[in-house]
Amino acid sequence: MLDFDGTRRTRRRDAALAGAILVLALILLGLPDEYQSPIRSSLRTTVLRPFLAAQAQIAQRRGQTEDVTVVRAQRDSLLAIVAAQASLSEENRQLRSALGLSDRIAPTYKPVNVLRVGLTSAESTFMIDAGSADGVFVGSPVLTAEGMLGMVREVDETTAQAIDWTHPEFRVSAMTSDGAAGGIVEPRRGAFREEDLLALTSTAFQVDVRPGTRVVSSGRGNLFPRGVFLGTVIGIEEADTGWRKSYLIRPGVRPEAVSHVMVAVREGRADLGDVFNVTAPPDTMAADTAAAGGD
Amino acid sequence: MASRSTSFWTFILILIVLHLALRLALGLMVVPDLIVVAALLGGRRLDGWQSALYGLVLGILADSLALVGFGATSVAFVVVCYIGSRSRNFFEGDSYLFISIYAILGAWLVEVIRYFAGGASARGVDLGYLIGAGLLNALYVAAAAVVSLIAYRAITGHR
Repeated sequence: MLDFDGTRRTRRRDAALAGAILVLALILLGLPDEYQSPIRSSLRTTVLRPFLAAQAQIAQRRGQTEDVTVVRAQRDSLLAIVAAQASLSEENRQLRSALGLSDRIAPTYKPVNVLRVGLTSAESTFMIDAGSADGVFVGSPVLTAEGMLGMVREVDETTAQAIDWTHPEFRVSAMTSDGAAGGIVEPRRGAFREEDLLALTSTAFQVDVRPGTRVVSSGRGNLFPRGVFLGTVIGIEEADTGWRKSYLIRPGVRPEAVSHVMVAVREGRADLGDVFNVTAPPDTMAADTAAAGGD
Repeated sequence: MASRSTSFWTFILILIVLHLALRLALGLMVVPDLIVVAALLGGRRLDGWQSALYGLVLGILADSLALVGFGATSVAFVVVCYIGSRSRNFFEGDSYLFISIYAILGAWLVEVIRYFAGGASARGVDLGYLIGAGLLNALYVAAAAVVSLIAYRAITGHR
């Protein structure tokens, strides 16, 4: 039997080929993240590169036209804080010196521009205009002056893709600012994206956290630094009788309002010997070589 | 004068580049999803398996920044493009009314497949999304498809 599109056999072959392509798409969907990541990375560094570079340029230009009075006000506030804490830091330095301790090991932060990704499938993510060449690594915390925004998930040479706190996979170990309650902070999706909140989950049942309490990162797991502001408790979400409670938190940072952030970067400090006052082991191979050369 | 096929695929290429330029370079989320428009209109012009392959390539491009549900758009586009291609056997029409209905149904099917394949329900997205925001998105995409087709026909004189 013939139809206008060709023979039945041709149609069957056509359907089989289309089926094979569908299977290929399903395999792509089911691939583990470590196999999907190189595909995304290659697309970002080839097809999408000119578009991302254009947005980086626009973000840089936008940064140059910021209201100077706002920047001046922020600088003045910062100056006041630094001046007030000057004696404290000197005291801390002297005490560390007396105890023979080196400087605190803390990540270094680099200011970067946020590149907004308008693709539907990239919801709750953003790009930054710094990458592995700047020391950005997978897991780098991304902070703003108002608190935690998210963390880096994929890194290319000059750009990186990060998730914000609305992303379903965002988690951070947290505690109340007084340390009375601790748990894991995770996102809660609202009816509209503007209504998204955070929740402090798995807190001890006997501890009562009052609305208005500030929640900060606890530093556990060594992924996020300790004490970064996450948000303010607005009420109880759930009380699993006799076991644990969770609380809703109003986040300190709204992702849509952010244009500049700070991202943690590595500075290639692989040897921590100087931190613990350990001298480098003798280079026995060099000594042997020298001895052999002497003979 | 350029052939009908050349001018049509140039039009599709412009839609894709425009999508990336507006959404990625300028970060404008308010712009309709022109890559879905390109998938729906282009899918109908190709034969079955070629249409599915076209959907796969466009889907990978659309998912290029998806950290969750990577591949869900590819699955959606393969299905929708293939159905679009087969639909020529049943509906020959290319009137604006037909294109509108086809684009609404096609764009909504993309939303439905993305919702289930991308694990949206597991991420806390309510099923009502498909009836509310999903359907609105489909209407928006259909409007964009009709407007872009009007522009294409006005410029090239082709149907």
